[in-house]
Amino acid sequence: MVGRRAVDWAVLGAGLFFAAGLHGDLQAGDRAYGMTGDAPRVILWAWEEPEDLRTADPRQLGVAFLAERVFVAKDVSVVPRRQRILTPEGMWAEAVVRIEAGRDFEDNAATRKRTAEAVLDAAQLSGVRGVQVDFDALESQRAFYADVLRQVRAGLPAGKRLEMTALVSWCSQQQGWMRALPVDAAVPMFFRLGRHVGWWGVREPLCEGSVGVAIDEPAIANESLHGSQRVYVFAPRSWTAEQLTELNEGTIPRDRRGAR
Amino acid sequence: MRRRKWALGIAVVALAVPGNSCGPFFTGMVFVHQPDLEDVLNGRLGVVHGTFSVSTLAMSYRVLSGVMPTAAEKTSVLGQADTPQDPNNPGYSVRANSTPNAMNAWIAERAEVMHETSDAGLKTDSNVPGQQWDTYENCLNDAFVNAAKTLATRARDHSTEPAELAEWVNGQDAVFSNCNTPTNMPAVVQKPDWLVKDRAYQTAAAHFYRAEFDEARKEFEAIAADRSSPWHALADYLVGRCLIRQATLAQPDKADDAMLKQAGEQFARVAKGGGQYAGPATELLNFVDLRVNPDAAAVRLGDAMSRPDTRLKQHLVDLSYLLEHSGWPNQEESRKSDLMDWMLTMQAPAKGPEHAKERWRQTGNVAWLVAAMSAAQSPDPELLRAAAAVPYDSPAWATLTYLRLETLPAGSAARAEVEQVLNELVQKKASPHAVNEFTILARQKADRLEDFVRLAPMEPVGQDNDVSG
Repeated sequence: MVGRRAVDWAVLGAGLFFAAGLHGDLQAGDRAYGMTGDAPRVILWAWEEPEDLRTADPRQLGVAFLAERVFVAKDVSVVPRRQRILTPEGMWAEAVVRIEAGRDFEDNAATRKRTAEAVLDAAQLSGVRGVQVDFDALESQRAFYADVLRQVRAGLPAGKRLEMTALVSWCSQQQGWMRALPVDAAVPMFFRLGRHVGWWGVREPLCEGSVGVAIDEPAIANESLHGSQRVYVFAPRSWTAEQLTELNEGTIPRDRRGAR
Repeated sequence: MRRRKWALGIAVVALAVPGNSCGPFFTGMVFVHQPDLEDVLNGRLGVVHGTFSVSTLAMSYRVLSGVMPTAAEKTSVLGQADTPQDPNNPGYSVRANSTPNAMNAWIAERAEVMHETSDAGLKTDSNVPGQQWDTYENCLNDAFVNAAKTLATRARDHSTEPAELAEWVNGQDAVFSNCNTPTNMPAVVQKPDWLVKDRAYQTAAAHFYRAEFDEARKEFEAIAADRSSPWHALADYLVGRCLIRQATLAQPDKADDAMLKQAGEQFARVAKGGGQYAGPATELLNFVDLRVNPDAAAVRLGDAMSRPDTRLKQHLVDLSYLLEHSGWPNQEESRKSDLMDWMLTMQAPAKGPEHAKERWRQTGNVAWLVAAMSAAQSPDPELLRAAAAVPYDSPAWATLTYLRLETLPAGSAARAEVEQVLNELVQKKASPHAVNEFTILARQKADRLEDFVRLAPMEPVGQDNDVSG
């Protein structure tokens, strides 16, 4: 009788054990990233650093590389990627365009047009499947941003994706300003959140398909693989061969070196 | 009952979903951090540690040595105008300071002389050969500045030769047509002599922008050898730039070190010869030596930064690159520079207590007293006496007082002495970094719980959001 009761409680305990969330952690040890649509599930953000990704497994990993920085002030100036980036044959890739609004930012038809043209230039780079726009637009700059995205969408060749990065606060709104944006997806950036660090509820449908994490914030990064979204991974410095090996093997590495 | 429990257990397991099991997350408070570079440049060092960043430590040396940063240096280092080149960039070249409208200057000069407006907005970036996504800045500001100045001069000196002047402009247009992708070459001209000499230079420049570096180098060498050419001095310098471009662009994953060394020899020769291009040649010699002869680069950078330095911002970037870059096997040679010697001693104090003390005795520089006190393994009466004699208005005072009081055995007397200094710092509105350092020290010396608790509150100097869960 005592033995049966012990078995009963063990079963219940096991259920509670998994329900407590540890199920996710155990699952993480047996992961193959797989694909989301035509893209690998894990995409490396390659920022303006020299990057050698030749040892990355292109079946497992894609790359979203910084292709251009667009500085919008009274005029628009474009600085294309200066740092070397080496990738393995056949790696899924998308171009990232970072938009920076200067202190003398001017929103007019010319700056909107020139910015959209710069984004479209990046989308024309060889071998890229689409373009991802990264702009921490202030509220007063959202009309500018939305129009730039509309112009980009209108000029983008069929079959090329248009994505954007998004502040998690944008994604947490149910009927927020992003709702009408003509993008295929938005990547909420769950890092550099200051005192608001942690998982935020995502209510904007555009943000539901992916998460952005950083390897120097491993608590968040490690958990990102538990879901089914595409995972964009940011490294504060160049990716190392050791980190790529870990990624190939299904683990998100930890970086304690900090930003340059 | 038993079946229900089984069913309940299975249901709970089946319904379990992947969870976010970490957290909640908290923001950490930072109480001691290195001072802002602006504070350091203004002489507010607080307590100097060898763990400071390269720039902060190098500027601490300057301040401790009594060579205060000049207003121009502060503006350069703290401002945005003088953007330093990133040593990681391929096709690295020295950029003229603050010439954002260089291309516009060329376009304006061309329009004035030719009475026609050319297309604005030349693309100055070129794709790295063999690479699909990365570029380098091919035509730099100096090229447009030089073209505009030269055109103004030629228009003034040859105003009676409009056809030749127009041909000069055609040639220059051809040069700049190669900035983005190889396009046109300047036509061959037979006369007059001034145009022939200018055309030789334009042709070499066009080859350079087309990434045809062997041809460009040969042509620049020929111009450098032609003492009658107005371009001979610049061409001598550009021979080295051809080599750097070729060395950094030829291979996908690394520079050609042999070619870089050859470039270094060329720049060393130009720098040694003095003249207009000696300064830029020295900067590019730094670029080369950072990679192939780091000791020499460190000595040169250290010496340059030890005194007022017109290119301080770039040199801080270069030195940071050097010291944070792995693969520098032997740093000892760089100790020929006093600044480098001091920085290496501060960064690894256990290696050099006697050396630091010796250097302090030799130089009398309070920076070395700081290094000697930092490196001392046990209280040294000679150093302690010297530290106690440093006046409050010395930038070394906080560091030396801290290091001196740190040697006192814990107890109420030591705690009281530290607290006395602490009160003085608070009254004189010292930086919160320094106040916190002395608060922590006073707490370490406390031998009663009530003193420890009383000294517990501190004002944070920042937040740590680096969640490592």
